[in-house]
Amino acid sequence: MALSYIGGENAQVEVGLPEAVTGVFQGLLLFFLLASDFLVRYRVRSVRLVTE
Amino acid sequence: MTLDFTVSVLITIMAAATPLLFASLGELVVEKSGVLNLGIEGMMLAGAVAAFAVGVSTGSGILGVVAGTAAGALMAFAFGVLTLTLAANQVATGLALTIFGIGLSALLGASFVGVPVEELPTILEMFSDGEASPIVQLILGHDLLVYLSIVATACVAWFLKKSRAGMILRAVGESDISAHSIGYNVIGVRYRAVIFGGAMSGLAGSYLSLSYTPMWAEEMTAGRGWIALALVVFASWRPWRVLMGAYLFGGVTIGAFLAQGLGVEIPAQVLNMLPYLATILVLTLIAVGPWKGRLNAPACLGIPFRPST
Repeated sequence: MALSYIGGENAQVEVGLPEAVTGVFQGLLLFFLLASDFLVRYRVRSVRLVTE
Repeated sequence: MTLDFTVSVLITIMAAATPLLFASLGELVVEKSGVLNLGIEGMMLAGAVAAFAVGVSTGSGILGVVAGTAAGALMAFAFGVLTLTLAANQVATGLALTIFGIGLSALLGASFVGVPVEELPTILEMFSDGEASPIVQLILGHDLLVYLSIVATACVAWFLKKSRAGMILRAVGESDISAHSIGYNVIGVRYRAVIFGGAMSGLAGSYLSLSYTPMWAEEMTAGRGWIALALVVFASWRPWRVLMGAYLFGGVTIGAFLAQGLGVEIPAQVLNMLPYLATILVLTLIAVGPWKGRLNAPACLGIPFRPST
């Protein structure tokens, strides 16, 4: 998280990205982290649906 | 104090209370279904920037409000996918939604900073030249969203108390497992509640950027999302108390401005603390008071639900 702040500042300086990009990036990072938590807790299995 | 002055103060109090009311009502329904969405601030900002962008580029305030509402609902849908489908931690996801919303709105709104927008017309201005006696102004001198917020309070109160769907929603919030075992679609109900909450937050944001302060600025919600969250607890999950609380907090906000205007030596920060202090006080009173059972927080608030098949 701290790294992404520093990286965000560097990106501002070097590439000229707006400051807000840092927030978007961190938000997305957290989203994916939380979503991937699902794969830690549950095993995804392919199952065949039993139909009539 | 003249009548004119009193009326203008009351009108500004109503204006300050309306975004809080919208956001709190949405969050109230969400929490009643057992989901804690801390991302109100992010959803409000998304709504505000979408409403402003569409309002400026189409010139139509109504379209702007629709866009803002849709943007809030979309943000809430992302929250729903993470917390309901993927059963992620609701607190962490809500905070992520806030960070994301602040960043996204600042990014999208960068080109709109300082652009003027036409304010939503009040009812009076729609049907006359806007001149009227103070009493008429107090009743009719608001824009449509202010009335919508009051109607929404009545609708939410009726929905939760009287309608079948509302009772199912409360059942889901009180005991997800029981509701699931008698055949209700817990995740489906929660999805609808979460999206409704997002839409209301988006509406609150639209009101901020199109009517309350008709302009766009980064982080223009200035913590209102958090106050709205506190308001739901303050009102102990009752719609009409949310309305009361919103007007009370709106009054405190305006009171802070007035006190400064009249030269009272109170730092603005102290007055900004008041809503939160009031919430802490109410929570403490509820926790230690004789009316302990009345803290009707939904029993399953914040607990993820996975149906075990």
